[in-house]
Amino acid sequence: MRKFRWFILGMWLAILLGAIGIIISTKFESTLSEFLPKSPGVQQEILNEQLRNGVLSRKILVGIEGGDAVARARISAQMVLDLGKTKQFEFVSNGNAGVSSKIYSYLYAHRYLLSAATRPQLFSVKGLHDAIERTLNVLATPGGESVEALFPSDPTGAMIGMVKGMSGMPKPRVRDGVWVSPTGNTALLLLQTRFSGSDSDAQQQAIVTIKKIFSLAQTKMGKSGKNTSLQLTGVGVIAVAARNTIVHAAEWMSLISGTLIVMLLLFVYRSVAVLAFGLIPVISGVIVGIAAVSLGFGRVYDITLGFGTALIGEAVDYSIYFFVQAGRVATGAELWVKTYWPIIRLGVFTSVIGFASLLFSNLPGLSQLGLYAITGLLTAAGVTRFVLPRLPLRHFKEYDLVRLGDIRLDVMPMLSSARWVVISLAVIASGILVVHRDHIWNHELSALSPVPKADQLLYAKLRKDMGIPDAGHLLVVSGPTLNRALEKASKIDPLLEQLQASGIIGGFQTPTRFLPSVGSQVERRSALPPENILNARLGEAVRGLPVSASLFSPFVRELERERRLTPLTYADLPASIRQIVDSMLVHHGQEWSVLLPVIAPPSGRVDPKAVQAIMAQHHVDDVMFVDVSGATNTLYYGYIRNGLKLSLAGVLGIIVLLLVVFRSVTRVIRIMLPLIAAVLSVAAGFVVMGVELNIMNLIGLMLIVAVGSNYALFFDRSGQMNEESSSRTLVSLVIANLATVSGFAPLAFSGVPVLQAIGATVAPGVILALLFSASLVERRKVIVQQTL
Amino acid sequence: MSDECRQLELHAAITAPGISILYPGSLLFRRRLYLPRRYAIGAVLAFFLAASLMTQAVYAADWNITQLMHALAQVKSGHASFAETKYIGFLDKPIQSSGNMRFVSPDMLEMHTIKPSDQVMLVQGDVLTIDKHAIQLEDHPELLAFVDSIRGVLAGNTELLERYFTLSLKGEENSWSLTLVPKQNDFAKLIKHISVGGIGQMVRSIEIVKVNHDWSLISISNSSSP
Repeated sequence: MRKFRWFILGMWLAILLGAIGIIISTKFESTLSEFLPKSPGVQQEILNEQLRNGVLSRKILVGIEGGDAVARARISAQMVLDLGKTKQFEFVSNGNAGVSSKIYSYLYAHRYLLSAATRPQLFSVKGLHDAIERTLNVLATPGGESVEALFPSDPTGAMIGMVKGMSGMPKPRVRDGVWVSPTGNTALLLLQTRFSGSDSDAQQQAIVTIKKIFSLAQTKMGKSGKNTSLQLTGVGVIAVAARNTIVHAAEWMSLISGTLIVMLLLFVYRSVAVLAFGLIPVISGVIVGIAAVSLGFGRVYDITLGFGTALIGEAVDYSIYFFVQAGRVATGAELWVKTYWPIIRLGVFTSVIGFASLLFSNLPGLSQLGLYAITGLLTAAGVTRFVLPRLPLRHFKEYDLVRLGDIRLDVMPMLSSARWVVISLAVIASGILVVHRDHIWNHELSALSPVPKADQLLYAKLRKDMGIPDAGHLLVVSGPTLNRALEKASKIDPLLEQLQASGIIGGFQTPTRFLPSVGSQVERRSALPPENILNARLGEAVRGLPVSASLFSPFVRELERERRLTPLTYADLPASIRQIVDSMLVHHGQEWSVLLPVIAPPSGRVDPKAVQAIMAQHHVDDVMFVDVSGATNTLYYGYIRNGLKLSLAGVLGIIVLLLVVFRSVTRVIRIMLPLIAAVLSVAAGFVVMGVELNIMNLIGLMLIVAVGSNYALFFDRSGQMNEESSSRTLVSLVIANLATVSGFAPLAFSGVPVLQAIGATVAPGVILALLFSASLVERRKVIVQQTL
Repeated sequence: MSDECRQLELHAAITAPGISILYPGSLLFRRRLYLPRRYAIGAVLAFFLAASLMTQAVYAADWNITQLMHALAQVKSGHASFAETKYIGFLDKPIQSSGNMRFVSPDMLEMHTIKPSDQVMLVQGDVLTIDKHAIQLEDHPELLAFVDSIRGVLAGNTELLERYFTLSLKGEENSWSLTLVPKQNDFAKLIKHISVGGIGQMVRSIEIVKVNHDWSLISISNSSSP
């Protein structure tokens, strides 16, 4: 073991230092999208872009609860005032800033350029006559007074038409002059930050500002503001919260599992020095793993670090095997290398093959985990094999572990007689899984979200209160320029109107209501007749109607004014209108996309076939109909299936490896059977408890195989060992198992769904894997002993 | 770009308002519709207020508002047909409409106009719906105040009613007129008064006179249809 001692130690230190150097300059990130597909379809890309940097990502929804309505309204007003003074927000509104009247003024001032009804026929004598008569009819019906004031300046009803088109859209209620939730118990504000939602630091600052301004406003209110409380949500807010949760969880879990493992090892080793040496492989693995991810991906997700705590649980096994199995180090190390190392090496390779399947996943979060685990394990194993024996372990106090081994051995025959229990458990578990085969997997992407359920619900609630619709269904058209995309959108508008009239959709939004393409505007403008012609036509048109043409001089003036307007462009839009238009635009790369949100009819379901049929019928073929949640979930379903295939490939790879090494089918079956039984039992356990598995559970299941294969391999070999080695092996396996459980079990309580899933899967799984391996493989040992 | 537009933008930039997805669907209603529409609702509710009288057997000699209120509280539902004539200053001739109306206690009122065009207006609870376009009365305190005051009448709640109107009852049981004059609120800026006329047990007319001298008259007759 003295051979190359300094060379190997030097290399190890150099690698560690290099890795630390890489980590120092590494960018650590927490976004909501690490488990969103990396190379999605165009649809998904648009949605991701919107989620990451779009207008929606910059929105912060604020709710003020508690106190009385008047107090809430006053705090709301005070906050708008104060927030407006900071430079962090693009806009701040609680509904009292006259947003509606601004939009109204904008529509009114451009009504003939904006109205889709503006056509040359409308301004013919007959067209004018019919339009005026129609408006008169509206005027005559109860409630028709609403158009009375508009009549002289808009006798053709352009405004009525536009407003009708926009009806059916939800919007926040107003009470005491400010936006409130439908129940009236929450005052609402809508803010938009200058920074994108993925800029967590800027978002964090914005959140701090809002909280400060709220408490200031609260204090100003005195007693009546006392019981009020603040709610904040939005993509950015959630990202910040998720980051904090993940970082917290990662820190806490590292601390808890670390402490548990350290206590366990201290109990076993009875030596701080040995403990310190024992942690060397793990720490080396973690450092090199993070550096590898940083090199491979350019950044490291916080959640990958969270997973690192679990890795401690597996990587620490290697040094446990080393110390416990090697026993007296002076002579044991070489013996260990000869007897045990091949088994561990095989175990490492099986684990690596298992994790390798993650590398090929299209979810960037998963491939990071894969790379991290592979490099981490390889490093930990390599350090255990080459570095540990060369370290000066003089302080290792031999501890008589044989006694412990004896106890285990006594238990073994009992376990081995339980092999039929294991086999029947596997059969029952398979039965359960087959029966529930349609409900095993959770197909919702949100299952992966690191965002706690409560935060998701608050976001959904305030969004609904605010009248920002769920991204339920969208039509998407794209073009190389904004104007091209708008042109395409305007072709779809009339089709959507048809769908609305026939009740297939409840309504829709389109930016062309506020910003038609330049072409449409020019076309509409050319439909407006010059003043003298219009006057002459009006004179004829009012024949037989109870009005005189002179009433319409405001109308004539307006037409003349709009005839001279240059077409509106995006740059001309006033801020309040731009907000609306922006929310329906996505600019990605060389392309502009227009999103047309479709509101579901009262039935709550939009029939995609009916929508696509009408589009096909009118030869509009470059429009995408996106069922947002459906598309996301379908996509995710694809990833589950893909993940399942990769995992199966991983397991298959492990089997092939074992076959190549052992050249014995029965032996491989013996090794794999307990692992598969453990996996099936855990999966069936989840199904029985009504928990649907997500892709993280799947990873957990594969980890059971990866970790459990070590146990199975040792049990497989223990038959060829002498009594003492056998005992040591058993003891090391039990300790390693406890360490793994200590590493993973705390994750189950981490509060981060992704980590929870892994923890809750692996912890019980590895215990079962150990027990099952013991019961199934021991029999062989017994036979071997008898034949000896 | 017009000055008006620039001004608008400037104004918008100063106050920095905004909402990404905002539905100005009820803008027209908010600005132009509510007050006038209230006449119609008011008128119709007033009709039922009066119509309920005919179902009551209590005709004391000293006919007064208190008794009227008490009687109204007993009414559960009613049907009728209506014809409305509007006299609008800028029109050469009055314009007319007609249809059916229905009331169900305590707060449902429907006006189904058949001529000149088909339209259904419905007040139910706190929601006013016109051809499927719903408006929350709560969002519009002035409108809510009015509707609530009429509900106050229907519920026989004189106290609530007098918060919004000054009431006066003229004539006798078989030829009476209940006048509602708005007190100092936004409503008073537009409406001079509402007069509900009745003969015996029948409400015959609801007259709404606006401050700008426009006025309308709703004639009501019993309808055999439910």
